[in-house]
Amino acid sequence: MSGLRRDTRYLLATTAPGVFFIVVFLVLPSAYLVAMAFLSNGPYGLPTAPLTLDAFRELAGFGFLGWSPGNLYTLIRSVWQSLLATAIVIVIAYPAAYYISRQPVRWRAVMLLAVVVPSWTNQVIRSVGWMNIFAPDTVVSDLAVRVGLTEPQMGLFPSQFAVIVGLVYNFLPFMVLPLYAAFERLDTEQVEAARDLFASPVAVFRHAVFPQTLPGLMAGTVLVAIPAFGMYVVTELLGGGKATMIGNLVARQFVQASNWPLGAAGAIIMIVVTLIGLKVLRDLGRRVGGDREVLL
Amino acid sequence: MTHPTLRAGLLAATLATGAGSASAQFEGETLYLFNWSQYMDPAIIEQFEDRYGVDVVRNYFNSNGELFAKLQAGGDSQYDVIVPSNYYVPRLINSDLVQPLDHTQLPNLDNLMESFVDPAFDPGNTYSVAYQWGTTGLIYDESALGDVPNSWAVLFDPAVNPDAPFAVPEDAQVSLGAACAYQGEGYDCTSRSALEAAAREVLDAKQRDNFAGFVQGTPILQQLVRGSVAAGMTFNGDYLFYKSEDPEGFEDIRFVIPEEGAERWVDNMMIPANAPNPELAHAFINYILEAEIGAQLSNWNYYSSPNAAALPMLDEVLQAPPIMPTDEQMERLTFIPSLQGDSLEFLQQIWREVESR
Repeated sequence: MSGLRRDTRYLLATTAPGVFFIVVFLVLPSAYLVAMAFLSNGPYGLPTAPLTLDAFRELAGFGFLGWSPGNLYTLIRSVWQSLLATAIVIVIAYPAAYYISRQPVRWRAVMLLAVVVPSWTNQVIRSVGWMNIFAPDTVVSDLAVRVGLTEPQMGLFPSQFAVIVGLVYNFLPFMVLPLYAAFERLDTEQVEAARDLFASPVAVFRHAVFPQTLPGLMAGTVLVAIPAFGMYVVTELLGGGKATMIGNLVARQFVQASNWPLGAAGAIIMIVVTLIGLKVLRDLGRRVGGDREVLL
Repeated sequence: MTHPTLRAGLLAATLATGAGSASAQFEGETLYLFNWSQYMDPAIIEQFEDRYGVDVVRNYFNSNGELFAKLQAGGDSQYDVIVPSNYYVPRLINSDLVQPLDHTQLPNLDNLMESFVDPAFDPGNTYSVAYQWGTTGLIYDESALGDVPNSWAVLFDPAVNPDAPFAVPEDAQVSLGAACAYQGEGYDCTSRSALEAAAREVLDAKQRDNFAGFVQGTPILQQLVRGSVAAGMTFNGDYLFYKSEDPEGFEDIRFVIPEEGAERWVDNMMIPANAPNPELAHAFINYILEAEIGAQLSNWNYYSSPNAAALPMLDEVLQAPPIMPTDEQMERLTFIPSLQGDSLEFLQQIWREVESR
């Protein structure tokens, strides 16, 4: 130790906790997951020794009955569901965050708290709450029946609609907060300058407001889209298992079907798809934001 | 639900018998019980705690798959007594997740009924002792479906139930068993062609507009009362348990054993391989096998007792259908097979197909 230079020692001391944290909570579990994915599933549903690609082959859809697109449907459904929920969250959160940021200071705190407080309750309990609201013979279901959205005896749950509502409700705060931060820091002089140069309201928004909120929007999108992609509690409860999502597929291999290698392989695919998603988002942000790094 | 006089009498009796025996042996120790929910009379636990001066910590699982996964993830050293169903017993044994029972510590084994001694799924009761038994049948709301045939057609035939919401359990073997029975292959079908056809049957059902999701046997009872589901599958004892709590809500709800056959199951007490306290676990199993406790248990949870000595003390409701099936119904009931290797893999694969489409 004494042989090391002082700044080297300083560097070691300051980075060690971070490195330790990443090794224990990221590297080791990921290594375990990767190792698990290449094991075989034993005769009684326990992971066993010979290393194989069976789990990935099975995940790709090859089985006793030949090839099936079932898991592919599951993946596409999950991506689509995540994109749809994120889009709806943006539509609601963007004006909401703007509105909150324009309020007197003491009201802002109250309004932000109102956005955040519901997320202090357990996800399961909130989902069960929605189950009761969407059951047949409730005010909401009756309204849906009258509009012709559903049959009287069916109610609105379980359904894809209920899942999307549950996701939007769950993730709204994660979009509102970063957007609010962006709006609060908004440089109003830019907006005024644009107005002074006779920009139309649309042009003001496009050139003066939107670029400034883009980092917040991107951060919110990451915070919403990624968990929504992997979500399984909400889809399980509000979807009733009618449409399996990738998160449910993985969870079920661990909890119900006891096929851990397949579950691990599914989890790896989830990570890969998420990384691809991040890359796409980053490139998109760069293009829209005029070559500025708006994300990562 | 409660039987104050019986309970008071039993309490006195257990206190009297317990006082003299080796009760000090376990003083201050803890028993970890892993059981299905709504399956154990809290008074039985209290009496056990009082008699032995121990604490009982209870945890619950909702399906055999969940139990298996928990044990696999290290739970085999966290629980002292588990209660899996017959078709999971061989899998647990072959996976080395449970330990053999020491029959010298279980003198009350003699109380077991003839038909539960030496079961096919665990010859010689080497690893398991019956806890309770019951049936899984069809449940439906007559006010929503009207007069329907006593058949799995209630779930699988759109002509019988064109628009009322229905559900099937997420337990692959149970749902496919019902579909197999409906197709005339028997509830305990194992051939690939039969299972594949059954999977298609469930898939067809799943793709109908009035399919309301996968719902397990216990939660579906609440959904039936609330009206979000009108038909599904459940267990005879849970049905009676909830019915006795809410007679009005269950007025139009019927539980039947369909003509095509249904499942009969036995849940068994077993000790995980690395249980923290196997001695106390044996004491607990022996305690449950006592005649009075066996009767008290069934009288509380509405399931059938495998305990011959307990029979005279059972409530009348337990001596009649749906708890005690008639001889004619008994012929239609089958145990579902314990699967392993390729057959298990096959079942899981086709079930994944059902879920993902």
